[in-house]
Amino acid sequence: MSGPSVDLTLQFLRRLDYLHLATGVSRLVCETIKHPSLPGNFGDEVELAVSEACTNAIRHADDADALATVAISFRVYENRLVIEVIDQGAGFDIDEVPLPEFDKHPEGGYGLYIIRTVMDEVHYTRGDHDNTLTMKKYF
Amino acid sequence: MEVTQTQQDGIVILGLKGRLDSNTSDDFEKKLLGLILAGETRLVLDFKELDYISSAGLRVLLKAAKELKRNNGRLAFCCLKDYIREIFELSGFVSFFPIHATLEESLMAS
Repeated sequence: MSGPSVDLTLQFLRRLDYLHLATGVSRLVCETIKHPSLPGNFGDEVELAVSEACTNAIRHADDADALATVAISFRVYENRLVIEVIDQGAGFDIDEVPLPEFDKHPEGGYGLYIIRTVMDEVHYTRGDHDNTLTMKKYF
Repeated sequence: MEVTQTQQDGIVILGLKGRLDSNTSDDFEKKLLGLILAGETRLVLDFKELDYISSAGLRVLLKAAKELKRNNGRLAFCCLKDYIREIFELSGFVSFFPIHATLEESLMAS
């Protein structure tokens, strides 16, 4: 199995100012993928997932730690894009996050749902010092 | 994100340009809820130049809609780009909000 054609990691302080940096880089990474079956909205959907994931990581980080960072890595393989978002917050149990109750039109709870909808695989692991959200999208 | 405000036949029209995400949603929430708290009950959001919306933006729209509902108000959207419409569809918003192809249609329905 060959290694990734793109392997890039960004690390930034958990400030929303950096959100556009992460989403902008996601666009550039997607532009490197020249696969013939790549859907036209591939970059849009990846950008949305990155925006939601980074927003969660930034907002749910420990407020007391001004130096807490968020890292996001992009790896492009032969048939898939793999993105990892690593934060140093308290983390959460992904299996306990409910689907939004659409008929009640809740104001929150859409972020993870959107990520799960636009990406093909989503995993989350809580560590002692950091948490990793892994998102995969195939092409 | 830039927001322009005009008024026609008692309906406030906000034109959104750029990105409505967690970076810009707080300012937009203040603007939108400020209008509603000031007594405006009929609003149309023109998304012709809106390039992007995330769940933070969706949250503001829902909050505004709920505030308006208390006052028997109405919030409508028009001119959604395909990408914005896709996000509305996957979030279930298309069944909750009046969405029109043109500003004129939104104004007639509001």
